[in-house]
Parts: sequence; structure tokens; C-alpha cells
Amino acid sequence: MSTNFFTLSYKALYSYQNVKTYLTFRVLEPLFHYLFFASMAYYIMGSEYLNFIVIGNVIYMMVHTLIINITVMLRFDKIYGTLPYNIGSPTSTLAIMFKRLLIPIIDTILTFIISSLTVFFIFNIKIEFEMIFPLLLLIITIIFSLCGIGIIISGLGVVFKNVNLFLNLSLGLFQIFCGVNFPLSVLPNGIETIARCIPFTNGLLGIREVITNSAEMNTVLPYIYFEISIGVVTFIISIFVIKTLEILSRKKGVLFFD
Amino acid sequence: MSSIIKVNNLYHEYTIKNNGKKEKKVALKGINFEVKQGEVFGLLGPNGAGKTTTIKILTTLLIPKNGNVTLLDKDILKSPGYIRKNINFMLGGERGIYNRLTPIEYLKYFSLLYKIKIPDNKLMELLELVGLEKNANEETIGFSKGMKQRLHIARVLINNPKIVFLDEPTIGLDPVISEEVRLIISRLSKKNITVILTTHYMQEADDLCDRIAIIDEGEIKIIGTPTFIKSTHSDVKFYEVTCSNLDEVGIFSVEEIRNLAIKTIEGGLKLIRFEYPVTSTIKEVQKEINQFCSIIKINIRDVTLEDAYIKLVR
Amino acid sequence: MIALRLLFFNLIKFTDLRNKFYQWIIFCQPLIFLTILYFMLKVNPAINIDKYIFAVGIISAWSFILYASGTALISEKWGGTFELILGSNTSLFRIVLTKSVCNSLIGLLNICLTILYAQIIYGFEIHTSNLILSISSLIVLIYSLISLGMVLAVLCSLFNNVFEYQNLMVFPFLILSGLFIPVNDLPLIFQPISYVIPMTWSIKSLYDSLIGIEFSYFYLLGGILISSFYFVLTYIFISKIELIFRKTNKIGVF
Ligand SMILES: Nc1ncnc2c1ncn2[C@@H]1O[C@H](COP(=O)(O)OP(=O)(O)OP(=O)(O)O)[C@@H](O)[C@H]1O
Ligand SMILES: [Mg+2]
Repeated sequence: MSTNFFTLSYKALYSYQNVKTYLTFRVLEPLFHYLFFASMAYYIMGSEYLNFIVIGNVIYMMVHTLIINITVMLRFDKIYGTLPYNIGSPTSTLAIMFKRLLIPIIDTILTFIISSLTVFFIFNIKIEFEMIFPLLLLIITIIFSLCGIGIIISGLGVVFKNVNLFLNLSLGLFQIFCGVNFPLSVLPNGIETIARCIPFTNGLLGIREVITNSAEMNTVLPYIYFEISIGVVTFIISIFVIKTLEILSRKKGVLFFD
Repeated sequence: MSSIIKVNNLYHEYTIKNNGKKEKKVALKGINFEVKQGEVFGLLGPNGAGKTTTIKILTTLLIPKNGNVTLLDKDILKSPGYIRKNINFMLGGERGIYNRLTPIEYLKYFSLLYKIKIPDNKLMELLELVGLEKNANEETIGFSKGMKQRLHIARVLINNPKIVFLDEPTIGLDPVISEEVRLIISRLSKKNITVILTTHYMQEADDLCDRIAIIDEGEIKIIGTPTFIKSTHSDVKFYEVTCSNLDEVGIFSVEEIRNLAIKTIEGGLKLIRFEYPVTSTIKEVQKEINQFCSIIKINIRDVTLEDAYIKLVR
Repeated sequence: MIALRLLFFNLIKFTDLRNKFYQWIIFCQPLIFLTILYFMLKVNPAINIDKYIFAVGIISAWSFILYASGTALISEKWGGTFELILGSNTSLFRIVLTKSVCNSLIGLLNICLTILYAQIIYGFEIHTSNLILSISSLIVLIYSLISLGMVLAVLCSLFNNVFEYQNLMVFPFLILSGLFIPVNDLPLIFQPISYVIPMTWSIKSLYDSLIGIEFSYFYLLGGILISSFYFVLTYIFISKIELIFRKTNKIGVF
């Protein structure tokens, strides 16, 4: 029996407990998602955008997996009624949330690997050997900058009754403003600038450079730096938000909403 | 012996929405009490009295609007970290357990949160204490309420707490299981662990608690040992008389006899129950009653905590 | 008359519009998809957009039907009202049918709302080459959504964790029903499956009526026929379920 915090949290709080359901949901759900958006883009924007949209959505699916699963764990705590016992322990809420992040992060990376295979077989999008290192770096940066967002959203769930609205809304905004389904250039000027300052946008731009233009490391470095800086900011915000929410919920006594 | 818990002028109000308008709802109106080390201290009171609110504040889950609380000589607002390490709590009911974990895993999980290393045999000992050693490696999803409640008690002991807070630990349990839980609780106090307990069962409080506070609408009505509460708050004794030839009209007219109930039992005999002021001796009562019936048997019952409680919060 | 009252009662009482998730599907989801559509059309503006606006409406209507009608049967069990229904002499089929009708009417509302959003917020103009045919197609679409809702209610009672499987079902139905890919462009093996889904027929008929190519009543009639077939099928199934429930106290896997 393996009993570290990681395996125990996984067993206690994660949706997919065996390989069969895991694969069903991590192979089929993304696949259907890609097919749907690919068909939409193919008939509206034209066949030349097929790869564009598939790559965008593969990376979007990572974001989706990461954020939903960070949120889901805390929601399970609410459903089980275990939240007060976690929060009332000497380990701070923030520390618990950070420690648990490892699970969705691993899931997200697996999702990416599975999806890379899927899109290779179905859309013939290949990842060359030289791309692996820059891609890995970009993916880690994206994950880093989105963990903050995930923590903020799930933190709101401690205080507010329904966290799904925030969750769906932010996922919708990522689909619109991060260049997932269409190039950023079609956004109005002011909005494009804002779009470039939210997490995920720059990382995705970098990934597109690597896969479609076989870009070298130094071409993508600016994207990485930018994504990391945004990530640091969201991380700091997330720490601030959780600390504030913790105090707020202790003051208002709304910690125990179901 | 010094007090391990000191509660001074504790005041709390919640903001609630009534028809869309924000309103203040006072839950605790400035209560005071102290608890000594090793004591089992009971908080009693009707629904909505403020018991759970008090426990949440003392366990650092809720920040009070006003008042001072010190646990283990530390202020709950200034050193919540230290306090959390040295206390533990359960909030009652069957919730608060991870369905898919086994009891051992559940305890392991919390030992990690409490930052302590506990060897497996120590965990087994805890499970033995609450009688779950046979289920140590079963998923808790199929556990009964009683098993879940007992698992909570095992969890509560995980960090060798000096104070434990048990909010309605026997809620919804059958009499036999409740008795087992009570036995476990009484064992805790023998280990010099201070226990704060809330319950709606008066007999349970009477059996377990060294001292009791009765709260109603956010105020403490009385505080003291069960014996003290019983003695000060009952001016009557309870009588049960088996008799024949009862003059029902006559007996109803006696002023001192209160809450009279009459029941016909076998052989045409009557059983009557009533309260009578404590100032009269049993001889005097017997004489009084004899005017209206022929007494076959007379019993006198002591005041229970329940009687005192009902008088207090009515 | 009773059916009408039951329907009205259901619309008010049971279509839980206070459910935040349904609110999201009805009011917000069309906005997200319309925005994506709006910017995709900026990339390539020279195409017929009417059908895509309807497509966005249908996405929301379908999602709503999938989640709301999909749980129509088992939610009775969860809510503890199932036993009451069996005790009264209203048939289970009729209850599920009324719920499904309500949900499909909300689906229609969803499509209308999407068109309203498209016109007011995004400034799209919507044309149809034959209004009567478009409206007829929409009516058949609603009819097929009702029958599909019935099928889903039965189907979803067979899964253990319904919600997760519902998530899995959202896109495949949309892909196969010819919402964006014309059914003829699908790989050959999938085409028969497409024609088994009742909305495929009415979507095709709706699109044809919008574009104004030669309209074929074949699809309109096909939609009606296949949907009717599902009504019969679910009627048989639900009667079976009712019977099994009396014996085992279980609906499907619940
Ligand atoms: N989160 C909250 N928001 C608003 N009001 C609350 C909240 N929690 C408790 N209250 C109110 O505060 C008062 C005290 O509640 P509390 O839960 O402390 O009572 P209790 O003595 O534990 O009752 P019970 O015996 O029913 O458990 C009640 O009137 C309750 O309605
Ligand atoms: Mg309470």
C-alpha cells in the first residue's frame, strides 16, 4: 500500500480511478472535441485552417483538463463534507492546494501525450524529434501559468455556492481570446493586446511556431519568457486570493456551504 | 489546576439574507465559560442555540465578531497554527469521510495533514480503540453511520490532541452503538484529554460530562455539574402512585399537584403521575393523596437532567 | 386537457431553470459559440452564414436536451417521486414525454434566443429563402428532439455515472447529425448511423430551406417518420422498465 499524499489524494478525490475509464475519457472526449471543432473550422474557415484548429484545441484540451481537475478536487471535498477537516488542520489551505496540484499536472501531461498520438493518426500532425525539447518547455510554462488560474477558480468555489459559472466562463474565454480557434489577428486591436497578456496565449503561439514552422529555440524563447512572467503574476494573485478567501470564509462562516 | 479553555464575552453574529435584504442574526450574545484540563464539558441547548457556532470558533474555523478565547493559554486569533496542532474536532453526522479510502488510508491522509509520522501499528491501535480493526482495509463507502462516526473519533485522536471537540457524536446512532461511542469518549477523559461535547441526549450528557453549560438563544442559562444543575433547577419531585378508588375531581383540585397524568392499568387500578414541591416530605404527600384514593404503592423519582433542561429552556 | 395542464405544470415546476448549469447552457453557451463563429467568419467571410447561426442554436438546444431530458427518467427515482408516479394512474411514458416536450420547447427557445443574440449583439442578418419551409423544418426538428429526448432518458438510465457519459455524448451526435459536416462527406461507415439520429433529417431539411437549393420533402417526411418510430420504441421500453421496477425496485442501473 502506497501512502503518500499524492496517492491518497488521488484515490480520495480523482474522478477516474481505473485505466479503462481513464482512457475512455482521455482518448474519446478530446477526440470528439477535436473532430467537432475541426469540422466547424474546415467548413467555415477552409481546409488550410485544419491543422491550426487541431493544434489549438489539443493545447486547449490541456488547459481544460488542468483547470477542471484542480476545481473538481475541492468540489469533491465539499460534496464529501471533508473540507472543514482539511481546513482545520495545521496544514494551510494553500499548501494543501499546491500539494494536490501534482495530480492534475500529471493528468494534463498524459492528456497531451495521448492527444498527440490521436492527432497524429487522425489528422497526420507530426511532432518531430527536434521539437520535443522546446515543446516540453512551452507546455511546462503553460501548465505553470494556468495552475494559478485553476487555484483562483477553485478557491472561489470555497466561498461561492456555484463555481461552475466561473469555470465555464473562463474556459469559454480561453477558447475565444487565446487564439485557439482563430488567429489572434482577427480580434479588434485593443482586445488583441489584452489577449496577449492572459495566460496560455503566448504559450500557444510558441507551440504553433514549433509545430507549424519548426521554429528554433531562440524564436520561441520570447514566448516562454512572456508566459512565465504572466504565470508568476497569476501565481501571486492566486496566493493572495486564497489567503483572502480563507480569512473571508472564516469570518462569514460560509465555509460549509454544499 | 488552570483552565485549558477560557472563553470571555464571546459574541458572534451571522449576516443572513431575508427576502433579499441583508440582516444580522446574533448567534452568541457574549458568553463566558472556562474548562479545566481533563474535563468532559457538555454544551447543551435547543436547535439553533449556538453550540456549533461556539465549537467552530473554538476550533479556529470561524472568526468571532467579538470576545476573547484562549486555548492552551494561546489566543485563537493570534496562534491558530499552534492551536490546530494541539486540538481536533468532529462536526457530527456521517459526512466528512472520503468514500474510496479505507480507514487506514483515511487516517494516513490526515496524519500527513497534521504533519506527523505514525507507524501502521499505531493506526491499528486507534482503529482498535473505536472497534474498527476488522474493517481497517475496507473502503468506507459501505460503512454504516455508526462506523463512520467511530472512524471520525479515530481521526480526532490522530494528532494526540490535548482538547477534542465532538459536535453531536451520537447523532442518528442506535442505542447500542451510542453506548459504545459513549464508552470510547469516557476512555478519552481518562487519558487526560479535555473533551468538549454537544448533544441533544440529556442522559448522555449526565453520564459523560463533568460539567455542563446550557445555552439558549446565544446565552448561557446555567453552568455547573449535572448534580448542581439538577438540584438548583428543580423545585419539585416526581411521584408515581398506584391506587384504587380514585376521586379524579378531588385530586385535580389540589393546588400543589402539578402536571397530573392518570392511567388505568389492569385490575381496575389507576396509575397516577405528578410533580409535588420538594419542600414536602414523602409522608406529607402520602397523607395528602390518601384523601382521594387508597394507595397501593408510591414511588418517588429523582429529578433528571432532562427535567431541569426542559424547565430551563421552556 | 390533463396532458396540457401537466405540460404547463412541468414547464413551471420541473424544468429547473434555477439550475445554474442549465442557465449556462441556455443563456451563455450560445454567446461563446457565436463569438467563435463571428471571428471565424472574419477569417473567411464569403460564405452562407445563416445555417451556422442556426447550428449554434442547435448546439445549445441539443446540450440542454441531452442533460435535461437525459435525466428525465432517473431524476424521478433520485427525487423519490418515482414510486408516487407508479401509484397514480398517470403512465410513466406520459411523464417522461411531458418532460421531453418541455425541454424541447426550451430548446426551441434556445434557438430563437441565439438568433436574437446574433442579430442584436453581432449584427448578423438572417435570411431564409422559404420561410414556410424553414418553419416546418424547425417544427420537425423540435419533434425529433422530443423523440431523441425520450431515447436519451431510457439510454441514460443504463449508465452508472450519467453526467460523465453525457459529457462524452455532446459532440458525437453533433458531428454525426450533419451540423457542420454534410452527412455525405462523412466516412461511409458513419453515414447509416447519421440517418438513425432523428435530428439529422430535420437539420438537412432546415439547411436546404435556408439556402434555397431544391427542397426535398423526403428529409422532412423522413424526420417525422423516424422520430415517430422512436416514440413507439421508447413506449415499449418504458413499459418494460415500469414492469421491471415493480419487481426489482430498480430503474436501469439505479
Ligand atoms: N453560516 C451561517 N449563516 C447564517 N446563520 C447561521 C449560520 N450558521 C448558523 N447560523 C445561525 O446561528 C444560530 C446558531 O446556530 P448553531 O449552528 O450554532 O446552533 P446549534 O446550537 O449547533 O443548533 P443544532 O442543535 O441545531 O445543531 C442559528 O440561529 C443558525 O440559524
Ligand atoms: Mg449544531
